[in-house]
Amino acid sequence: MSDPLQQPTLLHTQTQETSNSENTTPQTQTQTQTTTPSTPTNSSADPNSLEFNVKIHEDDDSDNEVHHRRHLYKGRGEQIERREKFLRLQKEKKRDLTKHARNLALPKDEPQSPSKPVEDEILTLKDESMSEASSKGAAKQKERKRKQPQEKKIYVDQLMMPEPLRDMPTDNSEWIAVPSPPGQRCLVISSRKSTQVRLSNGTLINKFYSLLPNGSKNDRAKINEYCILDCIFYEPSFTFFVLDIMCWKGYSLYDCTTDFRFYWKITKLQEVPGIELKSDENPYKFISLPYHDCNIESLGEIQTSTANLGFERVAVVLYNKNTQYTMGYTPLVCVISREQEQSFLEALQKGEMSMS
Amino acid sequence: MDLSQVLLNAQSPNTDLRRDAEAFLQQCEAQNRPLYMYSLAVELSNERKPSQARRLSGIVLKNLLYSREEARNAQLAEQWVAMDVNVRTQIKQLILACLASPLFEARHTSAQVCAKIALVELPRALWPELIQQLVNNMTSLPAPADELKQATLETLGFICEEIDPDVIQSQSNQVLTAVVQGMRAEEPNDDVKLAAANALYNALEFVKSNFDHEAERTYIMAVVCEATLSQNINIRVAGFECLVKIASLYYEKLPQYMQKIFSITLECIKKDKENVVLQAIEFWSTLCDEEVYLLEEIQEAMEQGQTPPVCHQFIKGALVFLVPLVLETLTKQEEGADEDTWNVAMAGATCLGLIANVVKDDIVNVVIPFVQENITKPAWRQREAALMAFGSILEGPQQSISPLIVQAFPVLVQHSKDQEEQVQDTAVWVLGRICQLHPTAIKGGTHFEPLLLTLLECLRAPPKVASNAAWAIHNIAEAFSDEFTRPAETLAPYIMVCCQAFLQATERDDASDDHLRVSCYEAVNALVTNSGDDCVAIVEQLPPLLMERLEKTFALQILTAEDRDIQVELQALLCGVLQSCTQRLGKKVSVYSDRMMQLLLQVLNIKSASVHEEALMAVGQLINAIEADFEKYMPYFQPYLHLGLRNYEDYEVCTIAVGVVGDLCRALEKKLAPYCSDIVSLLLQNLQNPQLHRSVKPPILSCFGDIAMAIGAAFLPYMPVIMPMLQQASATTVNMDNDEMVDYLNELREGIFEAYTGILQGLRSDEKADQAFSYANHLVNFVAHVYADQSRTESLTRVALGVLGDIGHSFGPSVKSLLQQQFVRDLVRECLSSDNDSTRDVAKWVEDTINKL
Repeated sequence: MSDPLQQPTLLHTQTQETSNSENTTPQTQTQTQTTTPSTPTNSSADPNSLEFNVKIHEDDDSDNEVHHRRHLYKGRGEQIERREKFLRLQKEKKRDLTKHARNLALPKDEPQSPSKPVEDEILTLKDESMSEASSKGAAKQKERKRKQPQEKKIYVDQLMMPEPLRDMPTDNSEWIAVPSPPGQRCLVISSRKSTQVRLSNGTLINKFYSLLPNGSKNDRAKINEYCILDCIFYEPSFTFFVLDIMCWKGYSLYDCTTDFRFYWKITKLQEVPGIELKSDENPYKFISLPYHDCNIESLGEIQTSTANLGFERVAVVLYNKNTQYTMGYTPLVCVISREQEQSFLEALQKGEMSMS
Repeated sequence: MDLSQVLLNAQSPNTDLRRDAEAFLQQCEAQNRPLYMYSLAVELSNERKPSQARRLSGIVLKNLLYSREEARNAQLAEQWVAMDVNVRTQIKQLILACLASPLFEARHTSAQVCAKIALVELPRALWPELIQQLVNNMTSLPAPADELKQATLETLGFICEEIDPDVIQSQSNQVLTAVVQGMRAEEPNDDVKLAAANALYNALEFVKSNFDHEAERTYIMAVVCEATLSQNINIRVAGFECLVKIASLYYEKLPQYMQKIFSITLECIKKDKENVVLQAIEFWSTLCDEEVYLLEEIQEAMEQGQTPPVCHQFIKGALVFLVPLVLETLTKQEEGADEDTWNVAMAGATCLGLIANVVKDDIVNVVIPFVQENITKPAWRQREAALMAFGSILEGPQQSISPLIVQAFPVLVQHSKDQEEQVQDTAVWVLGRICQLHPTAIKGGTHFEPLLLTLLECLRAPPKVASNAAWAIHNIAEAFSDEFTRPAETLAPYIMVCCQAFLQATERDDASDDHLRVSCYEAVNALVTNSGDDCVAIVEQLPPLLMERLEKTFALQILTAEDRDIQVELQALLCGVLQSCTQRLGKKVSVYSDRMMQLLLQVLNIKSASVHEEALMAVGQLINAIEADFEKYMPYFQPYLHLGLRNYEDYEVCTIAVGVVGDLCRALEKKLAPYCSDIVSLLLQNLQNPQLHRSVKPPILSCFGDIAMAIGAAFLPYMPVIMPMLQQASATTVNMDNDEMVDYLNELREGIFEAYTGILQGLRSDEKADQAFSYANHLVNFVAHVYADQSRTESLTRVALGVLGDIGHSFGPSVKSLLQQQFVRDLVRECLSSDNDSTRDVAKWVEDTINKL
């Protein structure tokens, strides 16, 4: 099963701070020099040897650090490095070639001085990058301080998580079955005229406008009419399959039982025209996952109902009818993987037979 | 062998003793790591052992738990967690008990060890009771010993300093209680108070919710302010450090307390000792940072019609009281200061510059009287301070500063010849700043020639002064670049004499001091790059001279590491200037290309990242200049290109190498095909390498587009690998709360779209577009996905839109319905109304292309 919202390992990214290597190298050099005064040859110690362990940074509060405002004192301002110019120039060349390939006319009102195309390119590029930086909020200039918002924490572990099925439910009439598509489990919140998607660890992974109440700038909903949905994102069809509903237009369903929440989920989503379609106002579809009684006949229907929704199910999730929406792992929600399904059905059959 | 003795021997100046001891310790670790760690803990906590041995055992223990190197640190953490729980518990108990040791070194080291264990165990929920235990150390009855309190606070501070806030957020109240307990007025012991203040400093980030409650906030502010007034200087410093951090974390909460903080900090700047004054100034500098940021945000919000954040204008309010005190600090220069030691005069000057950036023109009237009064004083400190003050307010004010600059010119020129070197240096720096920030003030007027001649003269002054003079001329070259067509008023008549003067200055014996050599060569670069057509003849004379110098570097006698550094730096600088000349001369450089290429290859043979970067850029520039003629060098250059592409550790080199591949694509086109297989596989390896800095990945993706565009149908064999990889890359997601990662995602997507554009256009030019048809659907979906993202940038939008056009262009009527979706229409409409010419051009083209289908 591919997990479309997972970071591909192929493009594994290093999140370390981009430190300027020219600046750090001399510092580390002086450090090794000061810590091993007697034997300078040891400065390139094998990091795994104990020698390294014994000797390095005995003193954590080294005063040798350059003051963080030192670069401002008699500063020479920011000069564009040759490297940066070089890279800009290449980008510009690429754009020209692309234009050429697309048979695009060159801008007419730009006085091209044929003798110094290079400078002109740098100049136009400079202006442009400036206007881009100011016109779009997200791509702030590098020097601007990055504040890490604290808000992420309140979104952590907000999803009701299933335990794997260990024992057969004693009374299968107490359970509801929901087919699960492959994809990324996520929390979808529409509020303040925007729709946010977060992972269970709180990480915000997408932000867009949708037709959900309060989900776009065109929406007239009041500020307290927000929605919180428990979804699985299925990338191939740009769909959020709605597993559960916790809030609808500000009305909280956390304390409601599963069967009521599911009923509400289906009804309320139906009330939003176009929510199940991909459109310009709604770049992703929102589709309620159907639910079934937990018996042999109903489970047989799952096959057809998921086929209509255009995915191959990877599991069936069993919800206890009477449970409220609780956060974190709960035995009142169980997951039956595709592999377990057959044995579950068999067990169910036996159980039903023995019951009758 | 006795562990104490071994540890002491490990520090012995006697090499043999030390070797043996280290070998023994290493053996212990290898044979039984848990036992070894336990023994170290026992040693550390044993009050009968020598203090030095105890301290060392703690350090060794700490180094077995923590490393600054990330990979090793992770490995150490795993090793610790894998150890038997009983051993771990015993070690932890020993360490916790040792926090109460009467010996400072022992409890201090234990605090460090305890924190390192906590950093491993708390995120894994292995030591849930720790924080409560530490809190109990502070609050238990009867009152705990001062030693225990001090070490406990240190431990909390160390933990807060490094831990992921999520991990102890839920216990932040307890931590705060313990810390504030130690800072109370009733606490008699200064060591405890100091430890508490330092711990609070580290805990401030966790106490956001406490800062939201007025009562709690006021209490915290009260203990912090009290600390700044302590009799003990270290506590005062720690108190001000907390204030600085509060200013940056909780600016919006400050108004209530500002009156008090205002008087505390100003009193301090007036009277206190240097270390404390530095922090008080830092407080105001931090407020400046905040307000500059807020003013920008307000500006932006106004433009976009959003609700702006609030700026409390603290700086403006304090201006007339604060600035005189700051100006006073400027006169406290160190004699013959080494500029890497931060002092009050440096802090004051920096703060003044920041204030000017906040209040803009309002700064002028507060500062100018000070400048006028002091600039002619006999004491050099007054003169230097006056110049420094003037130089510090050049950025920020607009209209009101220009006439003053013109007025100041003769004085500045005069001071550039001052008998005191520090005055001379600052005067020349001010001239350089003027050239950089207010070039219009010197253009055309009668000042220009005297200024330039003065600066050239200064190239013979002490290296620090000369270096600033070179930088000033550099700024003139950059500022005047658009005026070179009017030679009478500009640099053109002087360019020859400037280049000669710089090249001469680089040969000075002391050219390695104060970046003189670097500044001179960089200035030559600026002159060459910005030179007008009338100066080409002069630029043409440079390459032979530079190549001769480069050749000579290989013959330099290298005896020490320093010699080697100088050699490498010189080679990098010469490559840089050759690069600028090549760029300026274009095809005209052909006459030199054989020799230049030979020398550059020789440079690439040297093992040094910085010089490779410059040499590769020079090669890139040569490729651009001579284009297809470069083919003859390919067999020789190829190995070095591969080397650069493989250099993931110095990712700057790798970035440049990727850029050079782009240059080769554009210059050689189909002739590059035989070399592509190796290049493509190296690029793919880089993409998969988690150790390669992420910033290189977008250009690599885009580079596939360059290659496809260059070699057309010859790219087909790479499609089965590259297309799935691009598809996979397009599913990348990042944490959208992190602006930096959002920027990165935008760059990455731009790279992907550039790749698609190159591939589609390349195949189309060889009439093989149909080979990519199966990807059309995915591509349009990906554009839709990006279109829906609110944080996309204009340049990303432009390339995404372009790809839609490329799809129409490549596949014709068969994709008609795909491109007639509503979102495509809206995207085109959005881009047609952009302020950006290129975006509008692309949009027009896409619109036409779709209409023609």
